[in-house]
Amino acid sequence: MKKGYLITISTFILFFLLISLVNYYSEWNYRVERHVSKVKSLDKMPFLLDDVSSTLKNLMQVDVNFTNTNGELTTQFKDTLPAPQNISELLEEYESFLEGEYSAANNVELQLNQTSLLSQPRIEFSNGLTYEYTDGEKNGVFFYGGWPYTTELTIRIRANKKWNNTQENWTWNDTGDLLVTLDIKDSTGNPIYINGSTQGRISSSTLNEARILFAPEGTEYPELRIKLGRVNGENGAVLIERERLVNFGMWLTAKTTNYGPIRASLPATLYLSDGIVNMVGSIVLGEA
Amino acid sequence: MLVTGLLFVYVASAINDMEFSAWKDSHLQRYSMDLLTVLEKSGYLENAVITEDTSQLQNVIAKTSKSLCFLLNIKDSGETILSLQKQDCKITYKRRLITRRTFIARGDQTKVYEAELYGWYKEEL
Repeated sequence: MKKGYLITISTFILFFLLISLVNYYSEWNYRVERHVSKVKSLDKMPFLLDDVSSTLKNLMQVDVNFTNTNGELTTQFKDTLPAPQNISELLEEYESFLEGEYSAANNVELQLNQTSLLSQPRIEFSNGLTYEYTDGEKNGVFFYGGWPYTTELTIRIRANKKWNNTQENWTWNDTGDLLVTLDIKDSTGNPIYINGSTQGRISSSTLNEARILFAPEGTEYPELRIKLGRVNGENGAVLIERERLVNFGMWLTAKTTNYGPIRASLPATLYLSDGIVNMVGSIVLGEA
Repeated sequence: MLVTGLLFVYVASAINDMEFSAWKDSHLQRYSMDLLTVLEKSGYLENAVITEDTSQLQNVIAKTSKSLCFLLNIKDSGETILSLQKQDCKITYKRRLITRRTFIARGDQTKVYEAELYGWYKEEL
């Protein structure tokens, strides 16, 4: 009789232990699933931010490289003027795609705030250097913000028209604080000199201007303008503008004394949320 | 005793078979995101659109883990224009994970495209 009780009680205890075990594992599995969902969201958000940043950078249609070593920042831009397509229009189309199809497909709420970028397409560096387009069609580039730390500027231009003449108000100054190297060639490969030279020093606080005119087309001369020094109220700045009818590839290199890390970004922010993780990120192009 | 014994066997078997699908999904998601990032940053996605040749993409996807299967679609305005699948993988799966990445191709004109990557575990066939 006693043996029967013992077996029954043992069976019940074992049974309850097993039920508890099943419950525990079921609960544990549920907690793991929830935790992993959060991990997945935390993984996914930076990926989406990187995706958008990378595409926005490419839509600007400019190659940007910068190195920061031994207290010297070297920034290099490779660009084509004018833009094959209006970049403001491309950016607006992308924003619409992101906030519509892309957001739905990735099951996230997404908002791209790029008002500032659309009104003035530009790349900003954390030390104040700015590479800015004069308009969405990239008819001109304005590079400024490095003064008094920008020490060297190299401008390389390859124009698609034959040179005709240059009108200049340009002073090479041996005591100038900015070393400038010009490597400008027309469609025939002939170098174009400004005030008789391709290299020299200028004063950062004085405006130097050159109007490069190419072989006339009808009654108009295709024209490219370079302003260097004090431009639009900024010292040590450079403005390269396509006045009319000429297209060109442009490489701009600047050396700036600098201490500390540098970050390049676009003036835009991205808000992301999937209901588990919310994130607001700036559009960073790179760090050095 | 018999019922308890059977229950014990069932629980032991259930625990043994417990599939941590969430962790597996997380691993697959990371793998897929890395793969798409590599394909985009290397310029292979852009090249594929411009040249209409997916061999570079196929080469990279072929080198992924043997336990993983991938199907890559490249879309233009929602329409699939290019598609490729890892060899020795069949499109039958219990679970699949979709990862997307946008990229631009500068052909005749600059345009935004979308790469859509389906990933699943081969052992689940």
